[in-house]
Amino acid sequence: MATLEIPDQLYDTILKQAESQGVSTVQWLEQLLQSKIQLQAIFDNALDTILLVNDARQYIDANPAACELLGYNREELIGKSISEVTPVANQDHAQQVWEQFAAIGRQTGEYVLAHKDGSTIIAEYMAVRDILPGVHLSILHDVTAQKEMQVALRQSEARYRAIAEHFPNGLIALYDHDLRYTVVNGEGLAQIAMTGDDLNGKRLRDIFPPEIYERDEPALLAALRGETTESIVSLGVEYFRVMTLPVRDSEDNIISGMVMSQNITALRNTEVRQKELNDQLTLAIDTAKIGMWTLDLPTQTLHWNSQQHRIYGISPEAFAENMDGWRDCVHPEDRSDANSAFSAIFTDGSVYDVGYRIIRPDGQLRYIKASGSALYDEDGNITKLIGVNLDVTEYELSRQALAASEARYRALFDESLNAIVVYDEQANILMVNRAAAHGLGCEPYEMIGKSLKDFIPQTYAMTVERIQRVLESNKAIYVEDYIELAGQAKWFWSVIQPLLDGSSDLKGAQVISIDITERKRAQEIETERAQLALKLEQERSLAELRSRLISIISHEFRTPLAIIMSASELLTRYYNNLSTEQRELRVSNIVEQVRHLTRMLDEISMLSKSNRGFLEYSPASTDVGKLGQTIINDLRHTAHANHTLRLILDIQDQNARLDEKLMYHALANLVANAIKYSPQGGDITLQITQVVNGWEFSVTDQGLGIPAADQHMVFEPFSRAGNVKDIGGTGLGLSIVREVVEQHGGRVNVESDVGKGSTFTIFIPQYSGKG
Amino acid sequence: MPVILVVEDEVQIQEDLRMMLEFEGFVTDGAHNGQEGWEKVQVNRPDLIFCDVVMPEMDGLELLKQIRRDPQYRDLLFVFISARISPDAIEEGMAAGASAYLKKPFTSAQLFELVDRLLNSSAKR
Repeated sequence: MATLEIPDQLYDTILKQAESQGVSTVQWLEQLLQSKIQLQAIFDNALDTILLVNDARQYIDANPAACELLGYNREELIGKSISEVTPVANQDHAQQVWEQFAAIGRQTGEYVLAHKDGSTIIAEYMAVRDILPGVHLSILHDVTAQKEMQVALRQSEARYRAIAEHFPNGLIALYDHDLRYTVVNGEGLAQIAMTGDDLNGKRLRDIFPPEIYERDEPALLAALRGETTESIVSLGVEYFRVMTLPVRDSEDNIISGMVMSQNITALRNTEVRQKELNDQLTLAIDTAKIGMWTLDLPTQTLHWNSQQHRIYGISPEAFAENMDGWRDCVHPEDRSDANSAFSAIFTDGSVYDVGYRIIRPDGQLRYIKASGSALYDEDGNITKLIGVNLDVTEYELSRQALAASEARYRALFDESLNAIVVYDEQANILMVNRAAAHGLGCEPYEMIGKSLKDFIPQTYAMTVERIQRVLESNKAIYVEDYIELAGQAKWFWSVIQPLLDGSSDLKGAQVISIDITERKRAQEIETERAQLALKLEQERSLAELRSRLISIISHEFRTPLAIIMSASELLTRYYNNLSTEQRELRVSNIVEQVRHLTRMLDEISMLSKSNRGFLEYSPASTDVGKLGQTIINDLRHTAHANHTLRLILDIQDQNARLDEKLMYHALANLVANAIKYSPQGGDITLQITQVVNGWEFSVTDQGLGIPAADQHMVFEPFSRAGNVKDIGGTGLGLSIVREVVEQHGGRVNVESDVGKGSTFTIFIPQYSGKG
Repeated sequence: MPVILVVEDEVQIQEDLRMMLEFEGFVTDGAHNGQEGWEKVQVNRPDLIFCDVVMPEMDGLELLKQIRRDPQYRDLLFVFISARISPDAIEEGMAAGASAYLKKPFTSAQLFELVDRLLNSSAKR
C-alpha cells in the first residue's frame, strides 16, 4: 500500500489555521489523520489511476492502478518525469498541456501515455493543481480498450453494411423477438420500391399478406429458438433462396433473427445505394466520471459525492442517505447480485469490479462498475465502507453493439452464397467465408493468413492493384473477370470495397464475388440465337425476294414468248392463209419480242455479273465521292452532245457504309434512265448530300417526267409509265433500284412533272441496312 | 358453227389467236378486259371463252366469278390462257370454276386439242 507523503509545511499551515480559530491542535491532527486515512483508501482502491506530480513534472506518488496502467512499480515510477512516460510523438502536446495546466490550475482532456512495454495508452484525465502546495493530482481513466472497440465497431459495422447493402438482388433483415423488423437492407428493397426506413420497426404481420406471413412465421420463430431454416420460394417466374437464422451475441444469447432472401433467378448488378444506415450506432464517450460513496456503519448513513449524485441522477435532497436508497436505484434484476457482491467486503475487506445496472428517476438505464473497501478501527472492527462508482454505460453499450454487429456480420459472412474475402493491402487473406473457401476446395481456416498468390496466383497482381485503387479513391469498384479455377474457366462478378479506418492500422478490401458463368453462358446462347434468327430471317427474305423475282421474270418472259409462238405458228401452219402484210407484221412482232426478251436478260445479268451475286448485300466503308465520280465517268459516253452531266458533293465524311457494287448499279441505273428519258437533252445532276442521319443521293433530269398517276407504280417490276412511247425498257430497272435501296435499310422516291423532268432521291441511313 | 370469245389485253395475242381459230372455221369475238368480256357474253352467248388472267379494269378471275354467279352460264366453257403458271395460280383459276388452264406460251396443237375435247364432251352431254 502506498503512503501519501504529506509535506511538513502542510502541518505548519494546519497548525497555524487551528490556532487562529481556537481549535486544539490535537483535534485538528485527529481530523487530519482521519481525512488522510480516507484519502489513502480512495487512493489505493480507486479503479482509476491516481498520480501525484510536483512542479518539476516528476511523479511523486502513484496508486496501484496507476502502476498497473503504466507497467512500472511504484518505486520505478516515483521520480520519473511525465515526459518519460509520454510517447515521443506526443511530447509537444504534453508540454502545451502542462503549460495550460500550470496557468489554469484545473484541466480535463485526453492524454496519450507510453506503457513500459512501449505500447500506447489513451487515457482521459482530470488534473488539479496544488491539492497540497506544490503537489498536483492527476486522475487517469484508461479508454484505450474503449477506443479500440469503437474502431472495431466501426469496422464491423462497415463490413456488415458493405455486405448488407450490396447484398445482390435480395434482402437482409433483422427482426426482434416480437417479429418486428429492426434492420432491413439489401438491393432487393429498391426492386420493391421501398427503403429500410419503410420497414424498420414494423411488425412482419402488418407488412405481408396473411398467406405469406403464415407460411413464413414458423421459420421466423424457429430462428429465434436457434434453428436455421433454408427454403427456395418461387414467386411467379422468379426463385428466391430464403434463409432464416439466429443471430447470437458473444455470450451465445440469441439477440435477433435474420432473414436473407436472395433472388437466385438471375444475379443482377445494380447501382449501390450510398445510403447511411439509419440505425448507425453512435458512441459518445464522456470523461471519466468517478462517483464516491462512504457508508458509516454505526449510523448506516450513506454519503455520496456530487459526481455520484450526477451518475445516479438523484439530487442530494431527493436521496435517502442509506443503503436502501442505493438499492432502490439498482435495476431489480441486478439488485441481489450487487448486494451480495458488496457483502464480500465484510469478509474480504474489499470488492473490486462489481457490475450492475441502475435506473435513474428519469427512467434512463446506466451501467455501473463499482468497487469498495472497509475501513477498520484500532480493534479491527469495520467502521466505514468506502468505494467508488464508475459510469461505464457508453463502454457497455459499445461492447454490446460490437458483439451484435460482429454477430450479424459473422452470420452474413458465413452463410452468404457469395464468396467473400477480406484482404489486407498486399492481398493477404484476413477473412474468408465458406462459399469462397469451398470454391477453391479449401476450408476457411486453411486460407486465413495466407496470400491470394497461394490460391489463385494469376489474379494476384490484378487484385493488389485493385485494392490499392479502391483504397486511394475510397470507392467500391465492380468488375467482371474470367478466371480459370481447377481447370475450369468461370466468369465472376465482383465488388471490391475499401476497408479503411483512419484511426487504425487496418487497410484492406473486402471482395464479394458471384459466379456468373451460367448467366454469361445464357447471354451468349441468347446472342447466338438472335444472330442465327437474324441470319435466317435475312436468308428467308432473300429467298422470298428471289422466288418473287423469278416468278415475275417467268411471267414477263412468257408473254413475249406467247406472242412469238402464236406468230410463228401462224407463219408456219397458216402461211397461205395470210396476206403479205399479215406475214410481215408477224415477223416484225417476233423480232420485237426477241429484242424485248434480250433486253430483260441483259438487265438481269448486269446485276448477276457481280461476283457476290444478285442482291447479296455486303456493306463496307465506301468512298461516296469516288463512287459518284465513277458513275458519271462510266455513263458519259451514253449521253448525247446536248446532255450536261454533273456531280455535286455536299459531304463532310468521305466514307459511308454501303454495298458499293449494288449502289453503283442503282445509281448508274438512275443516271442511265435520266439520259434515256430526256431525249431533248438538258442537265443531269447526281448530287450526294450528307444529312443528319445518313446520305442522300439524288438524280435530276430535265426530261419527259412521269405522269402523276404513274408515279406510285414506277418502282413495281415490269411497270412502265404511260408516256414512254417507243423508248425501250423492261420495267425492271427501277424495281431493282428499290430492292437495292431496301437492302440498305433506305428508301427511294420520285418527284416529277411531265415535261419538266424528274428527281429520284435515294436515302441511305447511317450504319444501317439489314445485317 | 361454235362461237369462241377471246378476252385478252395483249393485242397481238388476241389477234393471232382469233386468226388461228377462224382459219379452223370457228366464229370468234374479242374483248380487251373482263368488263368488255362480260358485256359480250350477255349480248351473244359464246360456246367457249379463252381468257387471260392479268388484265386492266376487270381481270380474268373476276370475269369468271361474274359468269358463274349467273345460273344460265354455270356450264359455259371457260379456259384461262395465262403466263401465271405457278401451281397456286392454276389452283386459284380452277377453283373459281375454269374448265381448263392453258399455260402461255402454247402451241396451236395444244390449243385445238383442248378446243376439240371441250366442245365434243360438251356436245355429248
